[in-house]
Amino acid sequence: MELGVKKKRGDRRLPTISGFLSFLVALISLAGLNVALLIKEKVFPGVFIIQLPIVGFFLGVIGLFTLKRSRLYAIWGLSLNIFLLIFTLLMIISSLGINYKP
Amino acid sequence: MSEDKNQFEDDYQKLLNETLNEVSEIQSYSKKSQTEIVTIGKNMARRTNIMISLAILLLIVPIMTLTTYLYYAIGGRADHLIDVVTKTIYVTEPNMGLEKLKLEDEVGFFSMNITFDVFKRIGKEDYRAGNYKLDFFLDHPNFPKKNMLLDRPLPEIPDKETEVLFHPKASIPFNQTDQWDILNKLPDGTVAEVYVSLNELMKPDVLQKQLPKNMELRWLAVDTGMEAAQVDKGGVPITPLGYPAQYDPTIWSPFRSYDQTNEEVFLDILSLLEKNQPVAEKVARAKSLALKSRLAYIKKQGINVYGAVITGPTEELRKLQNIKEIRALKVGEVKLWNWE
Repeated sequence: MELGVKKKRGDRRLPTISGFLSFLVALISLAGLNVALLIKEKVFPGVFIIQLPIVGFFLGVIGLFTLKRSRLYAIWGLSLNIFLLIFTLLMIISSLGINYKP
Repeated sequence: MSEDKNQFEDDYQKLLNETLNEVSEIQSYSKKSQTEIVTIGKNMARRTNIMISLAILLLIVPIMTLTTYLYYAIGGRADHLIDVVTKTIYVTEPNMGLEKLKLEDEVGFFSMNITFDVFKRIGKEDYRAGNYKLDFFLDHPNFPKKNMLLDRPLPEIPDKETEVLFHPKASIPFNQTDQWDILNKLPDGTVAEVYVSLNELMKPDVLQKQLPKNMELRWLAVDTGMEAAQVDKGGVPITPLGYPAQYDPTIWSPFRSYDQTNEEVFLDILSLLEKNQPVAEKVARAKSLALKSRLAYIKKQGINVYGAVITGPTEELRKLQNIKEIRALKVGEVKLWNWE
């Protein structure tokens, strides 16, 4: 007996477009941050640690709202963008705690 | 009983036929569609793998950096290390200070390095005496890389033969006349820094009263019970411990205190360094500070000085030759006139 599968495109569980974009934005931000850290840039480029992660965060949130599609990329994108924002916040706080000069 | 069994088999057969009919109604995928599904699945899996692997790899550097920053920031660990390093300079290097506000720090992966300039007061001006670069791995310092700009720097490895300040009971390894000759032959329009060793231990204010007026007492070398031998109990050479003689108005200086005298600040610093002796010993020239016993000695005997660093016009410094309490003098740095 041959098993058949119902031909419904929605059942393929592809990730949401916004989730994918969120993940992509997070990867681009992380890559930029890595470059800034490795070349020991004194002033971090804000676009990689603030603007892009904020955009990625909202894309990730949008990507979570789906019933039939996979939320995998949206969850990764959201997590990475939240990490980047927390990273920025903690780095600012800890930098002020190291040899602070008025 | 047999009727029940037959009924059950009929039901089963009926259900099976219904299901088979349903299955036969479902059209199986064509070869092309199956290939398409497999290709999409493969691409999806490949893309997911690449993106997740990339994300994990890209997280390594930020997590390491953040961990390091948090390590140094939590509990003010970096500031504490910087405090120990800068205060070590004040109490182990005669007539030397630094501008803490200009101290630069750089945090790397589980490491931090600090760089700062040190200054000496010669005459009325502070001259840049050199630069220190100190690397920490977490809270363990390496030996500092020093770039000294002095004409007559103190030896990096202390030795009885090359020291400049001597306890009354320690022998003086250089010819006294030579040092006075240097001072006498310097032109009058210069200012100089001299290291003087005394004939006897005395209180700082007593020494101050002995000195001619037109010069400045900069740094006092304090008797800590080991200066006569110039080595610690293990035979490792030691260097003088002391403190600036004057109130320091610069805002970063530990000796800018309205409610404490310089002696009290000095004792506080020694207590701090005692608790952080491994760091202090890396920064100081002497590789043994023996702070526990030296601090206990000072607390018991009080602050008695056996030597000092004095700066002023060369012409005035020559008058020190007439002070009988001065046993030996060594000339340090000399600069052009800046006394007025």
